Formats: sequence, C-alpha cells, structure tokens
Amino acid sequence: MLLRGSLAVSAALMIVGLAIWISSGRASAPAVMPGRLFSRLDAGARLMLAGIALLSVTPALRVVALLLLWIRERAWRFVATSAVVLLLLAVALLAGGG
Amino acid sequence: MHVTLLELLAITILGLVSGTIGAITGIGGGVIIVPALVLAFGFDFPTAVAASLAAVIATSTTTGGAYVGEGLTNMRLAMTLEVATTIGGISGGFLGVLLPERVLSGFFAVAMAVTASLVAIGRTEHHGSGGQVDPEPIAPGSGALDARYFDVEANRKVVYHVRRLPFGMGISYGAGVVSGMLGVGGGFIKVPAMNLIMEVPIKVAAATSNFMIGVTAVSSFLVYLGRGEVHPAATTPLILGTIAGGLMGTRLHGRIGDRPVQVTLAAILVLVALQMTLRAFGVGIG
Repeated sequence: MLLRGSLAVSAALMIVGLAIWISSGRASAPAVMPGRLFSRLDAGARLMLAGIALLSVTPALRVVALLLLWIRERAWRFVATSAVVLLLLAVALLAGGG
Repeated sequence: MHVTLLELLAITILGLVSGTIGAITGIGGGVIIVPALVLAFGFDFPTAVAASLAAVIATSTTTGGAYVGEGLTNMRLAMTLEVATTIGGISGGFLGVLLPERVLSGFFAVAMAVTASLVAIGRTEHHGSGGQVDPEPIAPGSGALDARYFDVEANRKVVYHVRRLPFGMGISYGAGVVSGMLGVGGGFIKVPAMNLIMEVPIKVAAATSNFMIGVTAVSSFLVYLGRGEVHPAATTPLILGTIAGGLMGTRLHGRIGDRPVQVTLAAILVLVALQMTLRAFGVGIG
C-alpha cells in the first residue's frame, strides 16, 4: 500500500508537471540537479522533478519499512544490514553531487 | 536538449512497449530503452542510462509488490546481497558517467548478447505462484537466510538453504556495477547467481531479484541525478509509459504465449547488439 501510494503520487506529479510543461510551449528539456528543485525552474519542470525524486525514494521507503519490521522482531543483524543499505543510498546522493 | 511533442509521444510508447514486454518476459528495461534512446533519439549514453534507471525503478515499484504478497521474496537475503549490489551500483554510476561512450557501447553489446541468449533458451525470470515464507530459522543450526515456502504448483513445502554467500555477494557487486553503468536491472545476472551458485529455488531467486533491482537502480540513479544527467521532460514520459506498460503486461501475461514474445525480443536484442558493436568500433549507425 505504501509503494502504490507513493507510485500514484509521483505519477500524478509527473503527469501534471508534463501537462504544464507542454502547455507552456517549451521544446528544450534542460537537465537538472536536485538542488534546483526549488530554484529557477518553471513550475512544470519542478513538478516533474518532484515526481521523479519521489519515485526514486520509494524503494528506499521499502528498506525503511523492513528496518522497522526487524527492530520489532529484534533481528539486529538485519537491522544493521538495512541501516547500511540506507547509509549507502545517502552516500550515493552525496557522492553524485546532489 | 530539444524534445518535440512527437518525440515525447514516441518516448512514452517506448516506455509502454518496454514495460509490457518486461512484465511478460521478465526482461526489459534498459536492454530495450537505452539503445532506443541512444540510436533512435540521439540521447547521449549517461542521459539514456539515467532515464532507463528511472524506468527500472518504476517497473520494480509497479510489479514488485506482487511477489512480496505471494511470500516468495526472501527479504533477509535481498537486504544482505543489497549491501554489495548498492556499492556496485554506485561504482557503476560513476563508471557510466566517466567512461567513453564507445566503451559503454561495447559493454552494452555484450550484455545484450547474453540477455538475448537467455531469452532465446527461455531462462528468464519465472513468474511463478508462491506460498508462505517462514522467516524463522527452519531448524537448529540452519542459517538466518535459510527459509521455506509452499509451492502451489507442486503442492508441497519447499525448504532451501542459502549457500556460498560470499561468492553470491561478489557477483551481486558485479550486477550492481553493470546496472549502474548500463541502466539495466541486472536480473539476468542476479537470478542465475542466486539459483545456480547460492542454490536458491528459481521462483524465490526471481522474486528476490525483482525486489532488489529497484534499490540497486536507485543507488546509481542518484549518482546520475546528482551529476545533472536527468532531464525531467525526457524522462517523465518514459516513466509514465513504463508504469502503464507494466500494468498492462501483468494483465496480458498468461493470455498470450510467452514464447512468441521471447523469440521476437531475442531477435530484436541480437540486431541491436550488432548495432551497438558497430558503434563501439566507431561505425555510425542510425
């Protein structure tokens, strides 16, 4: 349910963002970095980027859900494992320069 | 980068086709998307790979929940292997941005040839039915990753022991590198590794891999995103098409024969592998 909800919201953001972008008559599709989410981007691009960012976070939410489940089960080895995976994802974001 | 309305529509259709084929055959995503974006739309490799990784995340999110609900996915094994795969994904992401396109084209040609062989002989991810996975150790002395499930088709309880974990983690690292470098899910490496080396049943291996590819794709996607290789207006229609295709493919699966789709897909992969090989040698095609 968590996954589907996140997927639905991210798809909605992307659809609305794309519609706004198309209606603005733009043809150029600039690349963006996450730091520009709230900067000079037009509304359409901003919504699309927000949708894409939410989509990319969804698998990480799954890992968080597992971490919480294993805390409840006191499976500390797997709590540590899932925490390491989350840490690595954070490293990926920082290492990329975002 | 310029994207016309017609190209947006074409990219959406590409996502739809990729998502549908992926849901039916278990192979899709990057092996179709990346060469199409590079050869037909003129994307540079990092941009195409970033878009493909976003589509892989969408595919994993759209279809992965089904396997978890069936109880086939070994979450403990998935998270353990994911440590290695995520490190590999980060490494692959950086390689994908830094390596010359001709080198990437060569790697891609090899990956497509391997995938075409697996598809042609029918060794793709198995969409089997499942049962209940018991998360508790199955017997005193058994490993924490060992588990059991009820195979509905065979009508019996299946117990399995996960073996050669260090070897499996090494291959998972390699799968992550390939995923991050080429924008593919990596299932064609992970599933055989779990099944043949770690002795995990094929249905569990496929389900567990399906769960993993989303997290792996995120690790490398974040590298591309951070380095400014993501174009929202070009990536969004691909993601939306992939989601729709995945949902459609799930409904079509079982109604149309897998074999004709597999043979067609294998033929397309071979043709595109040849094109990518030529590109690797600097021969311009398309």
